[in-house]
Amino acid sequence: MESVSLFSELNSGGYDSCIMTTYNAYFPFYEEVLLRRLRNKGVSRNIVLIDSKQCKAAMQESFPLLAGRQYTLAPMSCDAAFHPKIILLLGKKKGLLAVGSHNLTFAGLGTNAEITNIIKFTLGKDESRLGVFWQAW
Amino acid sequence: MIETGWVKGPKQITGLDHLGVQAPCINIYAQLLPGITNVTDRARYYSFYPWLLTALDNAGYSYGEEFIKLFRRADVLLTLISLRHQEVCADGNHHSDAAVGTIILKRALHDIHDKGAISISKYSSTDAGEDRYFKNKLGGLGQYYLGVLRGLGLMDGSAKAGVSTFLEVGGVIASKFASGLPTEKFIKTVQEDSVDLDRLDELSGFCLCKLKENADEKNSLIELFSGSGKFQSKVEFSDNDSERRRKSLSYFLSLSKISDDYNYVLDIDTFRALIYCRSFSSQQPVSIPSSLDLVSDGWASYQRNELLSVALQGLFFACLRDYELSGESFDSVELLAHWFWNEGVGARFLNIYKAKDYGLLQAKLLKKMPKFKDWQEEGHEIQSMFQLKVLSRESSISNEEILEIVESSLRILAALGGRKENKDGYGDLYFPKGYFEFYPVNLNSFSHYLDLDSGSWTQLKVEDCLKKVLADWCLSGHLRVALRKLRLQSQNTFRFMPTDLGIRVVSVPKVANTQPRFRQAQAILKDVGLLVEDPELGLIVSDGAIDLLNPVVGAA
Repeated sequence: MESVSLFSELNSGGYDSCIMTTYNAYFPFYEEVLLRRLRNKGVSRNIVLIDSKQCKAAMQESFPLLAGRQYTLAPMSCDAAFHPKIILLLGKKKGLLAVGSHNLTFAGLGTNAEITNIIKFTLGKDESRLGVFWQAW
Repeated sequence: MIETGWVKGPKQITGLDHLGVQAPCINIYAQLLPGITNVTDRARYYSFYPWLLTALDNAGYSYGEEFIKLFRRADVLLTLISLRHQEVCADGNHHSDAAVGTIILKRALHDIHDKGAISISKYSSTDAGEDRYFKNKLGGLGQYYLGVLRGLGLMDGSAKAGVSTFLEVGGVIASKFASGLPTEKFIKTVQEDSVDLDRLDELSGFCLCKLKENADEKNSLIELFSGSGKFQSKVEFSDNDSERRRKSLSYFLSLSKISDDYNYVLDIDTFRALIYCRSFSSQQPVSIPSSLDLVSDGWASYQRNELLSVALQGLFFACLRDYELSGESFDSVELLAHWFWNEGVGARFLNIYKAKDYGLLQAKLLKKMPKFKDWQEEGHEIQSMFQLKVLSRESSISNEEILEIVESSLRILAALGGRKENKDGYGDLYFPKGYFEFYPVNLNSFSHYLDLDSGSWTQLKVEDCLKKVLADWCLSGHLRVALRKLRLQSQNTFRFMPTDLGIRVVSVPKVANTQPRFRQAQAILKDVGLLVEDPELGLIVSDGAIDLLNPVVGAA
């Protein structure tokens, strides 16, 4: 099986919005690395949806310093754990959807054995794929 | 439609300066010794490259594909000449040491022995392959020397836009290099693209060792490095650089002279001790001309920052090693640091000293330490620095050794915060505005928090103060640095990382010193004949050096 660099995908440009869902997170990694890269590439609307209990634990480890200013942090409460790992990048002419096992931590995107599925969409080219994006939304 | 795969992380590399505390050291030695870098070891390249650009220009080659082809052949030819001269002389002198591309080109010399003659372009070609001597388009010039030669006013340009020699400065040096050398034969060899042993021998005058036999070239380079003589008014744009380089080289020579007088070998360890303590012992002070005060203060600041860096690396090492051996697991750096000083080896150390607050611990440690000038005595911060390097390199380490590392690190911190000789911080050194925002752990912040008289953490309970040092400066410091490198360079340099299962140690970095260009300065001073090899004392100041040094030092 091929390996996929989510790092490179996040750095590829052409998007203006990004939604990430995760079970847990390491906020310095998101804020210092991913968010900065995304904003540098023109992704100005950023949202992170995270399991509320894990969010509290992650905040005790390192408090998110840029939430509410540079991105929206939304703790999710549900009956069980909030466990989806989705990255949805949207631009005017293209989109990228990654669904996998990767949490929003450096280990999740950098060193663990995690799997991902990537679907790309370009306006006027792969319109049949739009349905998957709607489903993810 | 769907691309499925394993998530691929950024490239993992070992990395340097894991705590971001070495950076001020690097900034300081770059300020104090501009024009000589950690990769510009041989003085003759400072005259060879300006000559080569002029010679190719005179031969009608303008910057472009053909020019680069010939330039690279010439670069290769010079190394082959030096390698061959080393073989013929077999005298232990420095012929091809630090010549460009020697690892590959030793094979080329074997080829010449086997086949009689070789095509130089087999090795100088830019095409990727195992014979290519250098990837950089402009070989050793592009990779190592161009920046410093530009800074010294010898040449201008870039590999992309083209390079040329400044005639006013580089042209003078180039003409001195060429005098008495068979330059036409050298260029002809490059054009013909073929060389054999006889031709290498005929061109032996180009060997890097031959600089000391060419008095005009040698003196021009001395004047260039010292910004004196015919270069005094010409290097206008780097006046301050010239001054600092001149004084630093003079300071190095003065230290060499004093070491010779006391029968000491001035190696890198002795150099570190001397610039910090300015003595061999209380009975053997080092007297430096007052004209070198500013530069010697600058080097003392370098060494203070170096000590801070080594001490913090020591604590970082001790904590991660102890954590690795303990089998414990913690979710945050705060919990890890708390554990280390309350239950780990750190707690064992604190139990020995039984100090209520950090200030008291510092005072107790200082009381047991030798006098500032007695750096050769056990327990001195300089000896602690040496010990940290040795201990952190051991393949397996015991708890007792980790305890020694903690003690050595804290002894250094106590000396930096408590000795009156260390109150000067960075002195008159210049740092750009905002520089320390990137490097928050430095002598200024150290003094603010841990100075024995005024530090705001010294009244804290000892465990709490040391937890802050370890958690904020070492562990979080590392995460800050690694995250920055990940963002800017897409490289993974994490030595430990927070994971779903707690903090996981990747690899504990050994304690390392920065390299303050001391060896490079020595090599250059040797190349220009100001230092000579002594069988017992290593490099000593040459007879003529003092005469040359006096006008260079000015009032000294």
